[in-house]
Amino acid sequence: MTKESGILKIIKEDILRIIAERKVSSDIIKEEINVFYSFISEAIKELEKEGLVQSQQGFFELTERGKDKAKDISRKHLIFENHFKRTRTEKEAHKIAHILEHYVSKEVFNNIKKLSTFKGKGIPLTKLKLHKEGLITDIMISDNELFERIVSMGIFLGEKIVITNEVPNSIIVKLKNKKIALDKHIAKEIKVLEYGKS
Amino acid sequence: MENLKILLIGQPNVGKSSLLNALVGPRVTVSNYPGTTVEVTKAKKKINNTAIEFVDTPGIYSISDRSEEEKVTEKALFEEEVDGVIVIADATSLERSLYMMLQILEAQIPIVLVLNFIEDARKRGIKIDCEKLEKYLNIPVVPINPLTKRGISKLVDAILKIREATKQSFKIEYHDHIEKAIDKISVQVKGRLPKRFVVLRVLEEDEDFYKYLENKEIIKEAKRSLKEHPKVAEDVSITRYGTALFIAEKVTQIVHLKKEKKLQKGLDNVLFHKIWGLLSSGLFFLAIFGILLYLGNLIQGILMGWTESLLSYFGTAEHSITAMILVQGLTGLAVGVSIALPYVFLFYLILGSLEDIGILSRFIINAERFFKKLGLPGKSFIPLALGLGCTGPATRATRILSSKKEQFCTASLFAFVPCSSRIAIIMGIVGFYGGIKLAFSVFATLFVAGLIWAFGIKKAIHIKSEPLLLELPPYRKPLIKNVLAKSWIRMKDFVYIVIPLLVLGGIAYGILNITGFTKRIVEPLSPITTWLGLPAATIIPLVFGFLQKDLTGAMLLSVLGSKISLALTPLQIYTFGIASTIGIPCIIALGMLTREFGFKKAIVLTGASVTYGLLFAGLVWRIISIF
Repeated sequence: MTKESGILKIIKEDILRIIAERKVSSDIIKEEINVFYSFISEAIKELEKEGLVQSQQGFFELTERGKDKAKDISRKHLIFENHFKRTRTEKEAHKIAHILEHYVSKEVFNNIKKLSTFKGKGIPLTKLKLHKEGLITDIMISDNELFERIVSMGIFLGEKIVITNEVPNSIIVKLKNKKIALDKHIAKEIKVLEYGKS
Repeated sequence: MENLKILLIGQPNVGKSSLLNALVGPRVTVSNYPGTTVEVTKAKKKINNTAIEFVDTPGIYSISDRSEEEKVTEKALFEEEVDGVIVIADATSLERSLYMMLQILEAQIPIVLVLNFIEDARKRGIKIDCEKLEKYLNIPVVPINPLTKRGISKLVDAILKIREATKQSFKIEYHDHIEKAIDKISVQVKGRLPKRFVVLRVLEEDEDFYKYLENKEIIKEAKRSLKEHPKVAEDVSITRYGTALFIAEKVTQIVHLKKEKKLQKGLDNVLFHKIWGLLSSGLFFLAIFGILLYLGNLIQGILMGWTESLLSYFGTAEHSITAMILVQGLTGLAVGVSIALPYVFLFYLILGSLEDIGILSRFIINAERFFKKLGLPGKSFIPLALGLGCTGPATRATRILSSKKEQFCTASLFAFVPCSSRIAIIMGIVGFYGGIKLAFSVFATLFVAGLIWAFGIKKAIHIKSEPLLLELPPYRKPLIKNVLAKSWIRMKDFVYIVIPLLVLGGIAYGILNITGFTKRIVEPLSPITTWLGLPAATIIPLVFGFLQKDLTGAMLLSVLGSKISLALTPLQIYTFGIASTIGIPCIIALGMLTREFGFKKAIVLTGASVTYGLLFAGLVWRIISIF
């Protein structure tokens, strides 16, 4: 059950997001979310039980409580997901969106929102022009420890980052008033989008 | 009387040690570059009938990365019976400090959160609502300034009440599948550590944490769950940091963000410039070295005058055996005080200032360019620079490097970094009797010999070097009080370990001399002096120099007479200079190496480096005499 319920939660939220836009049948939901039908019917069952969704002649609509919940979810989820779909697989994008929508700060959220209107993919941090502001879109480090170290130093998705100096093996970056020297091997695994003025 | 044990935890450069100073008085190290403290510093203070023991830990960013600093902190956190933790947060980047605090909250250890650099933050337009933060986290939050002592009494009150602190209610909710796994596995967790915390650490695959597990079965259980959802550690990090951001955002008000000061920016632009960077760092370091030699020499001259008159007073009674031993012991003391002390203390004073200004970490970045070619991380710069003072404390400083291999390879270079005693030989013997040019060629030869050695080591021991990831602290004005306190801490090793050993070395020499042992080693070891092209008697200062490096100069004088420039040619003086300075310098350094790496490795390194030094000196001498 563990695995399903994780996905189920995401699907439930996706369904809420879709129904929030218009009345739909479960077939349309199936079209929009490409997962097994059984997941969708299970998710809808649960949503009905929670009193968030009600059905009318095969079409689903939100209850008042459901509308409130959907508003929140769709706004955040959409932005995060669309954004991360560009650099990750759909499933991963879902996952990140799901985590971020619960916890991420307003500023980081706004940054990502801004980003999602930008076209183009992230570039490695090493390719960011000196003194240009970039937004961190992805940290592709597989080593758990290094990943945590980097995150705990404040290098996080949606944060603004500027390269202030460059030395042969490393770059010096500025991030919220803190300066960090980063090995280029690490820096190239951090993806950013160039944005704003220098 | 009640006893409390309180841990101080915070990021590098967040003001932990300054806070400890403010709490108990100036007796701990304070620094402005990451990674000075790799050991815990303990200090006790009695307040209102409660004996509080404060334990200062190395600066870390999280409690689950596997750096040496983190291991030390984790050990203090879980192996000592800690009553509570003071988490020191940097108000200018609250979320980063909250990240670690959330981890400690999960361990359910009572916390007092302290906010440092509040004024700095305000200047930068960041305002933090402490009351709101307090309510949100349900733990005491105290804004402080260790320099003006603001908030210290409030902090003390909070510490005294730390046992009454309620169990933490704030909980991060992770991914559903993680929560499910926690629920499932935590049933099997045994021991006093909180179940949720334990399971998380195991799910994060923190192998170093396994030793705290009473029921190792849960590792298997976690592995099973990880097969289904492999990226738990990453998810946990993201969620935790997200939570930290979320909290920080709720309590922070950003009025306006101020730009970096022009001077700061300018200085960094010079230090990290393609050409000027290396040049300025290099020149800067040479200047420091020059100042050190000049001032050290000056102070040494004065101290020598005093100790010599003291010695000559005792020297008149030289005929009795005990007096002779006593004189040798006193010579050791005199040597320690008058030769090594000025250099060592001055050096630590300069180094301490550089640290507090924040320039040292910039040097590390530039050093990285050079050291990388030797297969070593830029951080090696710190212990090696310390090695210019005294090899003993410098050996301990290798702990800031992340792997034992890196530590050992760096320590092996101490053979070529002249400590103050070896500098004294080079300046006092080679420079004095052979001229300053000759002295500098010895320095240059040491450098070349060291380079060759380092490249050899790089080939022999392959180090997978950690990528550079280092925070650069802002430039700050150094506080004289802090610099003095810190230099004294570093001196302590020298005063309490090195000087007594110098005295013992002197006494040992006195005894060996009386028993006639000294003369007996000349004959069997003559192949060495022949190889070096030196008079046979010079083996005495070479051998006994290992007992106590500062004996070298004095003994050379005693075996050859005071007219060294007549007894030895300039080339011989130069050869002697090299032979006596390359290699792990003395028995004290050997002892310190043993403590860090074990006796076997220490003895191998010492033997190899001394042999290398002798071979090198003989070879150079031969090559030069061809021309």
